[in-house]
Parts: sequence; C-alpha cells; structure tokens
Amino acid sequence: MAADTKTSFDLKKWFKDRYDFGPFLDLAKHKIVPIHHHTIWYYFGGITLFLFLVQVLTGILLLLYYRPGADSAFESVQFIITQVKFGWLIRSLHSWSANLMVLAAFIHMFSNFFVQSYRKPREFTWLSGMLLFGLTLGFGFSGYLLPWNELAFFATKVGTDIIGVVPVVGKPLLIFLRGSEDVTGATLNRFFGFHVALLPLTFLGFLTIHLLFVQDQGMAEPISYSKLPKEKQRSMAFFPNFVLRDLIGWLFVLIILTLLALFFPWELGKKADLFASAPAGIKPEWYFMFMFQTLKLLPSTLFFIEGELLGILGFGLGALLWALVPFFDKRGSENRSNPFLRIIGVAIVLYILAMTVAGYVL
Amino acid sequence: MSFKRRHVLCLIPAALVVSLLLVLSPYEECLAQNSCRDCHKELGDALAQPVLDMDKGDIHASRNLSCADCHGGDPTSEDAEIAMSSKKGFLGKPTTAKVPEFCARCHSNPGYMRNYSVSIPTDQYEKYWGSQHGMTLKKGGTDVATCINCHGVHTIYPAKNPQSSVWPVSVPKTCDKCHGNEALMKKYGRDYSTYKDYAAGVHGQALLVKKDLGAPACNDCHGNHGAVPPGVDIVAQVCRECHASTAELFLSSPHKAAFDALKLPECVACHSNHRIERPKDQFLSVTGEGFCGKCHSADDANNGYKTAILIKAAIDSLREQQAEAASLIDAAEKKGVAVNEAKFLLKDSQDALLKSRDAIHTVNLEKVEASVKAGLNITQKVMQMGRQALDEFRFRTSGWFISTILILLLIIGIWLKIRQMEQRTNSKS
Amino acid sequence: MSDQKKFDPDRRNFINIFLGGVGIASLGAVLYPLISYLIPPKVTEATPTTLKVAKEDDLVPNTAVMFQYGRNPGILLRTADGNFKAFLATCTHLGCTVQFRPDLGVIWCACHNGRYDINGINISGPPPRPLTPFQVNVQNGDVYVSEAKS
Ligand code: HEM
Ligand code: FES
Repeated sequence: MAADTKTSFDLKKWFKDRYDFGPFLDLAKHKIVPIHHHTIWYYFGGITLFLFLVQVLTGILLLLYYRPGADSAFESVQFIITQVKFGWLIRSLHSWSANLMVLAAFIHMFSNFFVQSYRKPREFTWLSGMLLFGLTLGFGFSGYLLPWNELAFFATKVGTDIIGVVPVVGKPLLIFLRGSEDVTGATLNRFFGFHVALLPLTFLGFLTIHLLFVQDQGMAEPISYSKLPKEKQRSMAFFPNFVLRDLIGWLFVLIILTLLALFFPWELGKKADLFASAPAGIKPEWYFMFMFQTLKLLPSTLFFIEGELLGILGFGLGALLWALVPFFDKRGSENRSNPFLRIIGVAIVLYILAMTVAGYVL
Repeated sequence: MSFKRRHVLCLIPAALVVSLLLVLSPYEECLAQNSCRDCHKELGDALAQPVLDMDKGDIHASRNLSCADCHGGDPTSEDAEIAMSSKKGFLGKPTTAKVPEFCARCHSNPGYMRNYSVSIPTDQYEKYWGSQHGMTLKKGGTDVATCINCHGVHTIYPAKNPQSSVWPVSVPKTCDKCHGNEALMKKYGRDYSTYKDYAAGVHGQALLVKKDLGAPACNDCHGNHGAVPPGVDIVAQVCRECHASTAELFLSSPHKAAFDALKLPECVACHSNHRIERPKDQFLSVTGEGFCGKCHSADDANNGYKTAILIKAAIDSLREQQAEAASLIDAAEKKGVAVNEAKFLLKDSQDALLKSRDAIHTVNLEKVEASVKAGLNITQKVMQMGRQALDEFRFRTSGWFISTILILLLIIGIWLKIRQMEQRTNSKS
Repeated sequence: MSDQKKFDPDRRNFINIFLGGVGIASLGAVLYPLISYLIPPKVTEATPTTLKVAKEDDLVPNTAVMFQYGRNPGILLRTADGNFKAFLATCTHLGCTVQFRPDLGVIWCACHNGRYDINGINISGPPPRPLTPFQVNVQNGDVYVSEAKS
C-alpha cells in the first residue's frame, strides 16, 4: 500500500495523525475470503445488505411525500408517481428492491444452510440472520399495505385473518396487528409505524450484530475446504479484493433493479374500498405464497384439528426447528457433513418451489 | 260459550255497565269480529284463498279494510245466509265488466282517498275508459285487462313496493301475461312477441338486467291506466321525455316534415320501438344495415345521399382519432408513465363524440361538422399529451441506457483495478 | 500483454483516472434523479382538498362554470340571488356530465333529460340520487370549493 499515490498518502497521514481508526481497518483487513466452488454464495449476504440500503434510501425519500391514513395514503402514492419528478422511479425501486431483497435473503439463508456455515462457532450468526429474515418478511408484509390499494387491502385482510386462527394468542395478536377488529385505516397507521420506525430500528440493531459477528469470525469455510491441506486453501483478502468484487455485484444488481423499475413499473391499481367485495384472485406476495397455498390445500379438519390451524402450527414449529438447526446438527459441530440435513434442505426447497408454482397455476 | 257472550256484549249499546265491560273485555276483538274470515278460512281451498292472500301484506288489509268493505254483507252475522244476503248489501264477486266500477267506488272518490293519502291520484277510472283495454271492455270484450289483472286481487302492493306486480322492473312481465299470449293476441290482431323484443332492446336490458329504474318500462311510453300505443306523429314526444336533446334536434330538422309526409313514425322509423338496438355509427351508412340508404339513393334530388356519406365520414373520423388517442394513452400508461390528466381529457372527448352522434339528428352537415371539430380539438390535445407521455418514456429509457453504460464502465474499471492489484501481489509473492 | 506492461505506471494512472471519471459520472447519474426528486413539485400536496375555481366577479348570477376536482368534473353555479353552489358534475344516473340550464333554472343532464334543482336535488327524470355537493367558500373575491363535511 505504501506505493499509493502521493495525495492519498497525505490524506491518510493527515487522518492518522488525528484519529486512530486502525481497529476498524484491522477488522476489515484481517478477514480473508476462501476461494472454492461455492465462493459465489458469499455474495448474497452483501447483495441483501445492498438492497436493504436501497430500501432505506428510497424509503426515506418516499417518506417526504407519503401520507399515511385511509384517505390520503393512496392519493399520496399516486401523487408521488405522477407529480414528483422521478417519483415513479423511487417508488418502483422501493417495491422491486423489496422483492429482490427477500429473494436474496432466501438465497443467502439456504446457501448457508447447505454449506452448514451455521455450525460451531457461528450459531449466533445464524440466529441473528434468522431474525433478520423474519424482519424482512415483516417489512414486506407491512409495506405492502401502505399504498392502500385494493389488492394490498384484501391480501392484508386474508393474511391477518390467518393469524387469528391460532388458539389463545391468535385473537389478541390479530387485534394488536390490525388496531381494530377489522382491517381499517387504523391498521394502515399501525403498519406504517411498524414499517418505518419499529422494524428499521430492530433491523438495524440485529444487522449490526450480524455484521460484527461475520466480520469478527470471518467467512465460514465449507467442510470439504477446511479439510484441504493449508497450501491448497486458496483465499483472498476481504479488503480490498472481495469488497471490490462485492461492489461489482452491487452495481449489477443496481442495473437489474433500475431495469425492472423502468420496464416493469410497479402497479398502483385501484384504491382500497372497505365495503367492496373482494376481487377475484387475491394472492399474497410471492414469498408468502407457499404457506398460503399449503393452508389452502389442507383439508378443513385433520386429526381432529382444524386443518388451517395445523398448518400454521406446523409452519411455526418448522421455523423454530430451522432457527435451532445449529444446535441439532451434531455432525456439523464435529465439522462433518450431514447428508440427512442436506436431503431435508433439498426437500424444503423443492416443497417451497412446488407450492409457489402451484399457487400461481392452480 | 264465551263466543256468544262477547257477541252479545258487542251488540248492546250505551249501558254504563256495558261500557265498563267494554273497557275490560277484549274490545278490539269485538270490532274485528269477522265472520267472513272465520267461515272462509274454515271452508278451506279456493274459498279460503282470499283470506290467506289478504294476510300476505295486502295494502287494503294493512289499512284495516275488511272483506265487507269491498264485497258488502254483514260480517257480524254468524249465519251465512244473513251475512251474504243482498239485503245486507252483499255484492259477491264482481264480473269482469264490473271490476273497474267495483274499485272505483273508493278509488275515484278524492274525498274518501284523502283519508289514506293526499297525493294518491283518483283519475284512473276515467282514464281507464279511454284506454284500449277500457274501450274493448265497453264493447263487451271481457278478455281484456281490468284493474285486477295488473294489480292483483287480494294481495295488492302499492306500486312503490318492489314486490308489486307494477313495480317498474316487474311491469314488462305483468303486461306479458296477456300480451305474450299468442291466441289472445291473435284474436285482436296484435303482436305477441313484444316482451321478447323489449327485453332484447336497450331499454329492456337497462331495466331488466341492470335494474336501472330510470329506464322505461311498458307504461312509461304507453301510459298505464290510459294505455294506448303512441300515434305515429307523437313518437318523438314520448321519446323526448328522456331523450330531450335528441328529440329537439330531430323536431327542428328537415326530417320532421319529410317523415310526417311519408307517415313514418319519427324516432321509431330508424330505431324501431321495442327491440331497440344500441346505436352504431354503421347506422349512418347508405349501404348495408345503414338506415340512410333505406330512403336516400345516389340520384336523390336533394343532397340527402351525399350528406349522409359526409356526416358518417365526420363521425368516423372523430371516433377513429379518439381510438388512436386512447391507444396512445394506453400505451403510455402500460409503460408506467402517469397519464391521469390525459385520461380526464379523453373522457371529455368521449363526451364530445356523444354530442356529435346526437347532432346527426339535425341531418345538417355543418352542425355535425362543427360538433365533430370541437371533439377533434380535444382529441388532438389528448394525442399530444399521449405523445408527450411516450416522449417522457423515451427520456427515461435513454437516461437508463446512459446510466447503465456508465455503471458498466465503472464495473469494467473496478475489474481492471482488481486485476491489476492481484497481478501485482501475485508477481510480488 | 507483456510483463513489463503490467507495471507500466502510465497504465495504472490510466486506470485510476478512468475509474475516477466514470465513478464521478455514475455518481452524477445516481444523484440526478435523487436531487430532482427532492425538488418540491408545483402542486405541493397530494390531496389538495380546497381548490380555487373562479373569481367571484367573473360569474354573474344564473350562470355556471365547470371545474376539475381531482379526476372528476365539478360544476360551480351562481344562483339568481347571487349565492354560490358547487357539485360533482357527474350525473347520478349513468354518469354523464351535467350542465346548468339558465333558461330552466335547473341543472340538466342531456343524456336522459335528468334534472336537478339548484340545490342538486334530483327533481325529474332517471337520476336516482341528488348530486354530491361541495362546500363553497368565498374569500377576497375568490371562490373556493372543498369536499363537503358530512
Ligand atoms: C428504513 C427502511 C424503510 C423505510 C423508511 C420505508 C418506507 C416505506 C414507505 C414510506 C412506503 C410507502 C410508499 C409506497 O408504498 O410506495 C413503503 C412501502 C413499501 N416498503 Fe418500505 N421502507 C423501508 C424498508 C423496507 C424494507 C427493508 C422492505 C422489504 C423487505 C420494504 C418493503 C416495502 C414494500 C413491499 C412496500 C410497498 C411498495 C408499494 O407497493 O408501493 N421496505 N416503505
Ligand atoms: S345519465 Fe344523466 S340522466 Fe341518464
């Protein structure tokens, strides 16, 4: 680095004379990124992060003109996309980036599952990641209602209805989420609060923890890689080599994002009408589709329990087990691969794919 | 028998004891004492039917009118002979010829009807005799409609009650009970497919399918109590009840005199009467299904033929331009460019097209063209907005291309930098 | 590429200059829409509930003007005694745009001869309901309409 140009050298020195940010640089520098067949998956965490940053930026921009409330939300979004210069772009970006973020988070999560990077010593990194994933879904669910259009209104109605099925806590939770018995303007205001204050704060907290963990422990090595002899373990420095590659990935995502925003503008549709009957084909966002479809396919009663309830409990239990997988995977903690879990993982992926497709074609 | 006792109490008037007893006894029941109901109910079947019908919310029953108020007789008598004796004013069931009079005893008496409603009309009886139904009845035809054929007998609802047989949406079916009867209508030399025609036409669709109560039922054109077919020369007066501006234009046009001379039934001459088709611009054609060609031919002494062609051309041009403007707006909207303003104007231009189509009833080329021109002006503006919207999209796309190229160059730059960096470290090590 | 070239400082300089230039240009491409977005648009509010639709003096008694309220047409009329009334100009029958007929003193729908009185009440013809009224306020010679409080 000493051979850098004069000016940047001076600047560095100028700073160094005043502030010692060595520890931060060290944190970035000491990390190395292993190079192997699966290096590509290391990019998805960063991409999820980038998309989150896009969400924060565009979200704050939307806040300049967005007005929550049943009789102003729809109008204000309409105002943004018709009257505000590049408002169409900001809104479309926020919507598309939300979807890509969920997708990237899915990929990030499953890739980590398959390389068992949750194993010792990264149990808490996995747990914090799971929380981030849940919060991401929460962002999507709450944000979806904010434009107060017909589809969102009914999707939220159906989505929150499902929560109400859970015994004991379901009903109070439903009322807490909706802010009233039904989905109304009160729900919109609540969701707005969740979406722009509660969730971002929580998310940032866990994100910081998540990133500190990762930065401190470095990238997890796949089991096969860790068994290679030292001289065969190729790697690169996180900073600047990997970071620059990350940057290239982000720029590609940015291009894809703007392409989607421009050529497939996010529709606004019709304003929600509390008294209208539900239009045909109410569908949740695609990332909730597999759950929605499962609940739809379940018979009304199964083993003396209401089918829908069973489904919800099943998904709840599944998510819990999924989150606790580092504590189950004994082989993983012994740094051995676990074919059983791999099969389960593949089955889950196939299940999600099949149910999602079924949700759209059935 | 308690029955007897109450009975007696009712009949003895004035005594103090009695009035005291009256207060204590079920006084209401005494008044409601109605041997007609009691006996008829017991007799069952057809004889009980009127009683059962009255209990279904009949307007007369609900105004506390009893059997005897129409049919006469003495409901206080237990004895059928006495109760239904002509001495007691018993009228029985009126013959068809007598029905109008039967109802009119009350319904053409304004003084009496005022007890129930101040706004209820009392001229139906008089009007009825002027109607085709009434005139035939007078001549001895008893298979025509009297009051009860339309309103029902013992279960009569006011016309404003949606259950009523004369509620606007139900009127066509009610008329069809007779007017769809082939044998009956043939006897009088009348059409029996009117209902089918009406139901297929614009008015029938609006009233029967869309339940638009503003759309005309049979009686809105033919009248109800004084029902007659509108004469050839006054059709426009009937239609103008709703189609006011169109009728005005027609009546002031040269067609008015020409149609009169030819004894053509005004609006109906082109639009038909019951099976009215939704108007198409094709109607203006001088060929095929067009109406203008039915009278006008190329060798017309007046300019009718030529004018028809030019009027159609004007309307066509506005319609086509408008479709083009609409598709421009649509294209821009699909591309995500906001076009609210343009859509608002487009609605204006659609209004203008409606006006121009209305204006053809003047059969005056200049007037039609003036109206079309106004529409074209708006349409032009819409098109311009549409083009601007598409330009905006082009601006967005080119902006995207430029920034994408810049970002791609940046990617290349970073990649070169990485390579350079790594080659350096590699060659160092 | 030969080995010497790799260490060519010219080439390194070129890459740095190229990166700097393209980087700044890309930043511009990103910032341009963002900054444009921040500039307040001409209409400053999403749902302007109050609209200035006419000057008091421009409207003589017994006349009317049309105005645009959101996406809907409105009609502002000045009654013979000088008062202002405003309604949504959409006929409650089939949605044609209504007009004021000074000769009849009614609001008239040309489509099916529907009529409303100057209070917007449907008085004859097919319209099933009165017109939706606006609230009208006159201030400093300007006439404002706003959604009527129910
Ligand atoms: C601090 C972060 C964020 C802020 C301040 C923010 C703010 C907003 C605002 C004001 C809206 C309403 C405007 C509109 O509907 O276009 C919105 C909508 C939305 N947000 Fe966010 N948001 C943030 C993060 C996120 C994240 C992380 C996600 C997804 C994972 C997300 C997903 C959505 C979605 C799906 C919509 C609905 C988009 C639409 O249909 O218009 N947001 N957000
Ligand atoms: S649309 Fe106004 S009267 Fe029919």
